[in-house]
Formats: sequence, C-alpha cells, structure tokens
Amino acid sequence: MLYRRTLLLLLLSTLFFSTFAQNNATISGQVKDGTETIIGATVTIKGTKNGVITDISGRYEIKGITPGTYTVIVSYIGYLKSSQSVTLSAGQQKTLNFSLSKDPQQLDNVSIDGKTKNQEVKESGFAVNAIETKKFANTTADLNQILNRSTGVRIREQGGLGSDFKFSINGLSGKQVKFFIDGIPIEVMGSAMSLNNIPVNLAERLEVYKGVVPVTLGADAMGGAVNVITNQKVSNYLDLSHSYGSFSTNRSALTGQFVDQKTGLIFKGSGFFNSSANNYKMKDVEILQGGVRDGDQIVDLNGAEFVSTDIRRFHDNYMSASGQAEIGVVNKKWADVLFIGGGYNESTQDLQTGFEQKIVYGKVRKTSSSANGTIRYKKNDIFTEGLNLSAFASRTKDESKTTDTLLRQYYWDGTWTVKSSPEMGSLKQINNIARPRTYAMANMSYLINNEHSLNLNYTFDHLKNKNYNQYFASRDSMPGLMKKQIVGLAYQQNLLDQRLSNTVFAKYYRLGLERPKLISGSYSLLDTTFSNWGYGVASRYKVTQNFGLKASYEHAYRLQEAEEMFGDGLNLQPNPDLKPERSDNINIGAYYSFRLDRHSFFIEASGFYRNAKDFIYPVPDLRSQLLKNENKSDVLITGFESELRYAYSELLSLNLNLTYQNAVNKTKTGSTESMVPEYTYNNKIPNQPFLFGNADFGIGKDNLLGKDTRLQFNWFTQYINWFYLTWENAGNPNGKSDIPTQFIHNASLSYSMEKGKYNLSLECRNLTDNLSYDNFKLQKPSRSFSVKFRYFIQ
Amino acid sequence: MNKLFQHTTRFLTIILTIALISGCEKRNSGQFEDGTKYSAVLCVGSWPNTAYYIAGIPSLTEGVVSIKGNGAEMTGKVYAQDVIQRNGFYYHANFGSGRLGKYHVENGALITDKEIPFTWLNWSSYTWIDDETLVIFGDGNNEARYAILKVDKMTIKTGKLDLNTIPTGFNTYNIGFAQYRDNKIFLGYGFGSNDFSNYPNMPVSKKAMVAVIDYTNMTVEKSLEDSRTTSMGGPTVYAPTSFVDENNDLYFVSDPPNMYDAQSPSYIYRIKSGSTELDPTYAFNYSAASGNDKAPAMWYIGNGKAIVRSRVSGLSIDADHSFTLIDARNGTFIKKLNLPVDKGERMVNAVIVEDGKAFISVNAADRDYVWQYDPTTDQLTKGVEFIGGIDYILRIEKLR
Repeated sequence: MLYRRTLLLLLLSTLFFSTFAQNNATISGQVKDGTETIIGATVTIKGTKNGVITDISGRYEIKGITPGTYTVIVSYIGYLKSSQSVTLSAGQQKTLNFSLSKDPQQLDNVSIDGKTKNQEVKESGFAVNAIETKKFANTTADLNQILNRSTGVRIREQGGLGSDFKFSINGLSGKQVKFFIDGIPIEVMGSAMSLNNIPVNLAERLEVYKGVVPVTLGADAMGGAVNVITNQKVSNYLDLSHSYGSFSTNRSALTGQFVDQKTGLIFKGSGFFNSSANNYKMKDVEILQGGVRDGDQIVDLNGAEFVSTDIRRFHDNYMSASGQAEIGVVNKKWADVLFIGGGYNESTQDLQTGFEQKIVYGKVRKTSSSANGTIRYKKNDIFTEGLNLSAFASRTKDESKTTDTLLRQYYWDGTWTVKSSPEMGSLKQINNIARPRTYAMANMSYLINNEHSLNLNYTFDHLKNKNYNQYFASRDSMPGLMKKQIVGLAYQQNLLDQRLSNTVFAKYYRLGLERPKLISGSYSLLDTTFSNWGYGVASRYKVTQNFGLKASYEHAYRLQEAEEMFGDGLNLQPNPDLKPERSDNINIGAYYSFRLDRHSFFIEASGFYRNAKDFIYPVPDLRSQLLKNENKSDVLITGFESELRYAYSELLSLNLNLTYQNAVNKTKTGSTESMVPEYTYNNKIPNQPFLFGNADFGIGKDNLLGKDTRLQFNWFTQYINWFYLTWENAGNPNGKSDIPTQFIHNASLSYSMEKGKYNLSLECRNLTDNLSYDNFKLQKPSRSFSVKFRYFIQ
Repeated sequence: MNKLFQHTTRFLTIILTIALISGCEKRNSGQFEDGTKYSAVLCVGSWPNTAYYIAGIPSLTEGVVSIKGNGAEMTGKVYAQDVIQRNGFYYHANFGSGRLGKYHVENGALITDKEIPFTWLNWSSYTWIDDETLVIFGDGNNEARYAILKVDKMTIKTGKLDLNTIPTGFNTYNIGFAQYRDNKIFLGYGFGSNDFSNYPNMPVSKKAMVAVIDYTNMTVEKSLEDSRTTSMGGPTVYAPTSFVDENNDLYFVSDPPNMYDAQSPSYIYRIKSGSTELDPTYAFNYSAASGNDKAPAMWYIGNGKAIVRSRVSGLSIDADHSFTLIDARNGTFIKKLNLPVDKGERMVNAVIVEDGKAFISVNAADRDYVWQYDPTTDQLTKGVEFIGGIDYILRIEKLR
C-alpha cells in the first residue's frame, strides 16, 4: 500500500535585485508553497499600513514605498509566517519571492482560501468533494465516517465496526460507485481492505467524484468514484496511533517512511488492526420466554412466547488487519519514482442479522484474506519535455469464505432452536470465493503548452472468479473469467489566462467474459464480449478570482461482472442476456470564496441530474429460492447540494452541508406485461434518504495549556430526514413503515503536545443515545466512548 | 463585517427554508375501509422495491380498487402472497425469521395478533380441519413434516410423516395438495432435489404419490401412486389444487412443470367418498383435453364443475395463463373462458366462489378486472377494476 504524505518542503527564500531610477520604491514577487502558487496570502510591510493579497498566480506588488529598511511579512492560513528584511533605495523595483511552508501545528485547521491541493481539485470542472483528512487525524473515524459527512454522500451501514455498507453518491450506489487508493482500485489490495476499516491516519486527502469521473481513474464508475490519497512526501515520518472504546473496540494504525541517506532507498510501511465485539445494546427486540431449555438451546418451544426487551448483540465480532510495505527510489535519472511492494490483509466478521432485525444469526461467519504484490513507476519529461508517464501493475490473491452450516434459529438473547434449514438460506454452505486478479494501468500525460494538454489512460483488469460450496464440492469446476480493458483519452485546455478550463474525454470499455458451461453433458466455453463508448466534458469558468462556475457531463457505463452474468454456481443463476448499466450524468455548480479580515468563507452549490437505465438487480425466484440478475429498472435522479465552510483564523471552523435528491422511478412496466404504466412509474424511489445534512463545528486554541500545544473541540451533527421504506403513495399511510427523522450528535476533544507529536483525544459518538438506522430498520450502535493516543513525528 | 453577516444569513435562510419545506412534508392520512367483505393481495414495483398490500374490495361486481393511499402494507410482517386467510384473519409462516403469525387488517394497517416461533418446516400446503384447527405441511431438513395449529391461541403441535423414502438422486420431499375429508388427510407428494448446479435441468422423479393420513394420530396409512404424471398439486399456500364436491368425492390436479418436468401431462384424479384409493375408473388427462396446457390451480364452483387456471405448455411456469371450465365429475373439458390472457404471477389465488357464481381476477395486459362467471347463464361480466397500474394481483379473498 502506498501510504504517503505530501511534500512539506522547507525551501529557502530567494532574493532578486534589480534597480531602476524612480523616487518611490516598489516591491513585487510571488508566493509559493514549493512549486505551487498561493493565492490570497497577505503581504504586509511591518510598521506601515501597506499591504496586499496575492493574486491568482500568487503574485503581489506594493508600490509607493518610501526608501528605507523594512521587514516584509507574508502570512497565510495553515502556513508558517515568513519574513524578509529589505533595504530600498529611491526608485528601486525589488523582486521579493516567498516560499511558505505548512504549519505542522495547525493540524486541525481548515484550509479555505488558498490554492491547496484540495482547492485545486475543487476548482477543476468536475463535481468533486475534496476532503483534507488531517483535521480528523486525532479522531477514531474510519474513511467511511469522514466521507459520510460530505455533500451528496450517504453511507448506509448495517451495524457497527466492519459491518456491510452501501455507499451512495447523488443517489447512485452499490457497484455503480468505485473506490481507489492513489488511483488504483481498492479491490486490488484484497477484499479485506474497505473504506469501513481503513483508519483516517492512513489517508491524507479524499476525493469524491460525482457522476463524472476523470479518465485517470480508469473505471466503469457510472455513479462516481472515491479516490483515497495517501501521504506522498519524501522525508522520514512516523504516525502511530491506538484507540480503545466502547464495545471492546480497538483500532491501531501505523504509517511511516524511512529514507536511507547512504543508498537513497526509501522504505514505506503501513498497517492497521481493528477489532470490536460490536456488542451494543439493541432496543426493544424480541426474545423467547418459557419453553424447555438445555443450556442455550430451547429444546421444546411449547409455552415459549416472544417478549420485548433491550439486549446486547452477541455475535458481531469483527477483526481486520492489514500490512503493506514498499521499497524504492525517487529522483533517479531513469525514474522519478520506482517502488515495489507487497502486502497482506485479512478479516473475520461474524454476522448478527439478515436484512431484517427479526432474522438473528448466531454462528454465521465470513473470513477473507488476500496478498498482493505491486510495482509502480513514474517518470516526468520522458522522451520529451512535458510528457509524463506513470504505470502500475499488481497481482492479487484474494480468498473469502462464508460459513453457515448449523440448522439453528437464533434469538436475540443467544438462545436457539433447531431449524429445518441453516441460518441464512436453504442450503448448508461453506462458500469459498477465490478471485485471483492481475491489474495494470498506465497513464501518459502530455503538456503541449500552458494552455493545452492531453491525457491517455489504459487499464487492464483480469479476474478469475472461482466459487464453490465446500460442503458439496471441492472446487469450482466452472470458474468464470473477466477481462476488462478501459482506454480513456482526455484533452484539457486552459484558456483566458487560466480562467476557463475545459476537459473533453472519451472512454472505451471492452469487456470479455468467459465461463465453461455444462451443456448436454459436455463443457463448452461461453464467451461473451462487449464494447461500449462513453464520453463526457467538464468545464470551469472563473468569473472572478474567487467566484467560479462549473459544469460537467458524462455518458457512463457500469459493466456487468462475471458473477452477475454467469452466476456463482450456488444461489445466483446465470443470465447471459444481462446488459451493462448506463447513465447520463450532469452536474452544474458554482463556488465562491472570500475573506473578511480573519473570516474565511467558502460556499458551493450545485445541481445534479442522473438518468440511469438498466439497473442490475438480483431478482429472487420463488420456486427455487435462487437469485438471477436482471436489468430491472430505470431511475431519474435530480437534486441539489450546498456547502458552507467558515473559519475564523485558527480558532473556529464551521462546516455545513445539505443535500436534497429526488430519485424517481422510470420503470414503466413492472414484472407483468401491461399497457397501463406501473403504479410506481414516476414515483419516488422508496427506502432512500432524500434530504440529509451535516454540521461540523470546531474550536481550538494553540498554546493554551503550554507552549506548542493545541486544544481542540469538535462537534458534529448529522441529520437525515424521515423517509418511507416503501412507495410513498401506495398503501394506507396508517400502516406504512418508515425510517424516522434522525439527528445524531458526536463530540470530540483532543489535546496535542510538542507541535502535534503527542496527541490524546476523547470522543463520544451518538451522544444523546438516539436510535439510529441506516439500512431498513437495522439498529446502529448506541452511544459509545473512545480514547485515542497518537504519536506523530516527521 | 456587514458583508459577512449578509452572506451568512442568506445561506442559513436558504438551508432553513429547505429543511422546513422538506421536514414538514406531511404524511397523508388515509381513508379507512374496514368491514369490506373481500380483499386482494396486490404487489407493485419492480425488484428490489417491490411492495405488497392487502386492499379491501367493497364489491366484486362494481367500482374500482386502487392502492393510492389505500391498502394495508405487508412489509416487515408478511413477505409474499403465501398467506392463508380465514374469517378475516391472515396466517403466514416466515421461514427466514422462524415465525408463524396471525394478522388482521384494522384502520388500514396490518396488525399482528400473535407471532410464535416456528422453525419446524418450510410450508407448502395446508388443510382446515375446522374453524379453529389448521394443519400445515412442508419439508424440513429433508423430512416430510406437519404442524397442527389451534388458531385461536396460536398453539402448535408438530410431527413427522412417514412417507415413502427418498430415492437416490433426490433429497427433498415435494409436498403437493392437502385435503381433509372424514378424519383422513390426503396429501400429494413427490421427490425433488436441491442441487441446482444444472438448473433448470433438474432431475425428475417420474412418480406422483398421495399419502392417506389418519388425522387422529397423524400416521400415514398408505401411499397411492401413479406414474402418468408428477407433482401432485402445487404449494397450496398460493392457490388450491383440490376440492371435495357435494358428493364428498375428492378431486385433485397435478402440475408437472412445478417440479421441472416439462414432459408429463397434468392429470386430474378422484378419490370417491368413503374410499382411500384412486378411483380406477377415473383419470382425466387435462393436458390432452386442453391443447397441452398445464394446471397450476383449480377451484370448485358447484355441480361437478371447476375452473382451472391453465398455463401454456413448457418448462417455464412464468408463462401466459388462461381460465378454463371443466366438468370434473365427468372428466371432460368444457371450454376456455373468453377472458383476456392472464399475464399475471405464476401462483395466484384468482377465484372466489359465491352464490354459485365464480369471480375471477385477471391480470391482463390492458385493464385488470374481476370477472363474474355465472354457470347458469354461461355469461361473463366485468366487475370491480384494479386501477392505477398494479403489477400483480396475487390473491382475492372472501373475508366473511
């Protein structure tokens, strides 16, 4: 795994002199962070009222200065102040460039107005959430919990730590959303790696692309994509943390890098360990009273009655562990970056319930393990100036197993009765899935000049899918094979002095699927190939330096997977007629940022449109109890979202966002042939939050309890408006099931010492102990407390 | 600073307005229609957002039924149309959560009267002994099992049935029709497989059987056999496949495709009153008489006549259906009723018989009506219409 940090370069200031014959002197120059310009930095001359703010290219100019000796000070939020002394003679025009370095102390700071990497991403034509994870580094959050606070994103978890989740971006979800780590699909690392277990400390930034996805993430991500960006810096660092909390939850994370000065070799390592009993209290669930018992078994149900009670979960243990190491070199003549790496991860998960709270499991368990080997290479200005190449390849061994072999019906208190079928389904299973995978990608960008650039991306994904029930077979006699190739070409232009940026792109998807199939006694290879063209455009126009308009469009596909088409040989039946899902996605938006004194504001609002067709859903067959994937429904989603970020110096920060989405069913006919449009045609899609928002408030002060310390308090509230579990207009409202409006409050207090070297934080989630639900009516964790210690050196 | 407050206020106002408008979106209040004489189990939506409702039908002969703001939602209680209704109470076994429940509709909501733990069997069929006693049958852990339910207090007694042993190549019992008559229960059965690796080319056990069970001690007296057909009546929790007529003669029909047998025809058999043997003088090859149709369900309408829900031939049971009129007593096919083609679900309780008339719900491609068939005049007339685009009409029920 490539857990890296951005470059925190401490560059020396440079001075340039030039002299002209004028009376009053002038100072001008540029303010940068390494190679990146800083917009909005304050440049003042000490002891005078002279001061300006750097422009779009980071430049400033102060005219009319009386000759003399001055100190010029440059400051910018999130950076260390920089000052230079200068002596000006009459008429002198002096160039004074500044290079600021980030202030490591301001870990909880929200960078708002500067051209941070985040800002750069936000100011691209794409509809994107760019999230700095630094400010969450002292919390116990995993990436899902951070993403869940951002605009347009809803993550619906089934329960506690490690539980299955459904990630939705602007109403599209499931396999329509793809996840990446540093541009590489997260599945390449193995199935035990997931956004619900990667600790916050392993990431530096998160990018959420909504509906329109850049070609550099070579994927059939029709609903959007999440890219986790890890630490990329080239110096030594170590970030070590451990937290302990309610429900016996332990979470450890480690990421570090060591540069051997003698050989120039760089060693990178990262890892995490999570475990939890998830034994939070379930409210008002039913257990059995009475009956004849033998230990936990109820041997005779005669006289046994359901009664309601509050009780702790008993079968929801979760453990996941991951380790990843890399070794390589940077800045060689033949490679800017070359790393080889390897990793291993595994997880064990007990399942406590089915899709419904009444269905209690007591022994069902899922385990998975995977190992991977990776190589990555990057070279800028290869062959010719402006031509950059990066490439990545990996091989993954990924295995998982689901065990459900006991003929038992469990109840919430852990007691059970003999059932005539296993807990989950009709057949006993030790279901093995093995998915060896080879993945490779290459990206080539060419900067023609400052105004025009090209980007060509190619990904190759080869996945074998072996699936068998160990209870009945020892191997999969008909493994499925998927070969996915995606070529993306983008052309970007930056016109009108960088104010207008347009990206036009096309994607070619090629999918080959194979599975040998037993046809009248002999195997023959079912081979299917699809190809599709997708395309899109993303534009941004800066009306003023701080005010920009954005629009983007993509005609996108989500390709069918081998299992969806050929079945899993167990419960999922093949459907050779399955087509890819597709969607036309449009985003329009505007952002505006401004500063008043020490108040910084960032406002963003956007509207979105998704016209999605041929959704792939597994449809159950009543007779055989088997599932079969079908292109079942069409959905039209429109909505808008807005975000306000405010900060007062380094003291206060407030982040508010609200999303409204209206997903309307466009499936005209239901399961039956009919000339009358289905009742649900044009109705709002049920069981989906349509209005939700987040408020994140932080207050923190440096040096309050001693030098180089920071005390920080954060309050976070999540709001989800009530929604129906079923079609809103159907049925008598009196008996309709719904999910009530939810307000969930969380708070944390953290204390950092020695400029963030030692950090201690206390956190409380679901402070008011409200009932919270995400998926159907499965109760989520009750109030929990945790404490986290983090050690960070660089 | 003024500018600051302006911006903030404006933004917060927008957020508040949105929150208020949406948050205050009122839930409609429904009209109640308790005390209707009939009901329908309806399904709307495409997977995975299918939803089931029990809607009252005030009259079978006129008016409209819509689920717009109407109908008791079944979600979270009853999962499909396999419900048994008697005297306005609905009974449903949920194998996933291991519960057997009794429910009724009140003020537009489906109310749970009682749920009991029930893990003994996965139900297929049932027969009422009297108003208080329901016997249900099904497969459980590859055994044929039964449960006797006293519906008043929802108490239960369970046991196993000593049916013929499952032969090699098969591993489950397929339970067919169940019919109580004179302290005997007649139970159709066959053998099946749950190895779906070659689905839908499943092994077929070329034998249809009927167990004769003594109700007093639930012992199997004998098994009657016939090899002309297979699958002796589908799961009757969806629709009936047998009846006892005015002469106390028992009739039942087979549906081979239900157990993946595309070849064998549907046969109707008779067990005469007082007998526990298949009537050797009677075997009605329904498929031969109906142009090779198969018979997933059958309702007795009186005077020896019955209505059959008839499916076009083939292995698929998701095919077009029609309704035919047969003279069961004489073993003759009378005619196909002149109704629109039924595009509905495979298993539908589509007929209510009242005052010698049959009321037939048809899931047509055009408009969905309950049709009245009067055997005395041989007339078909349109009755109540289901409007608004119902996906499936799964059951119609007479409540009292």
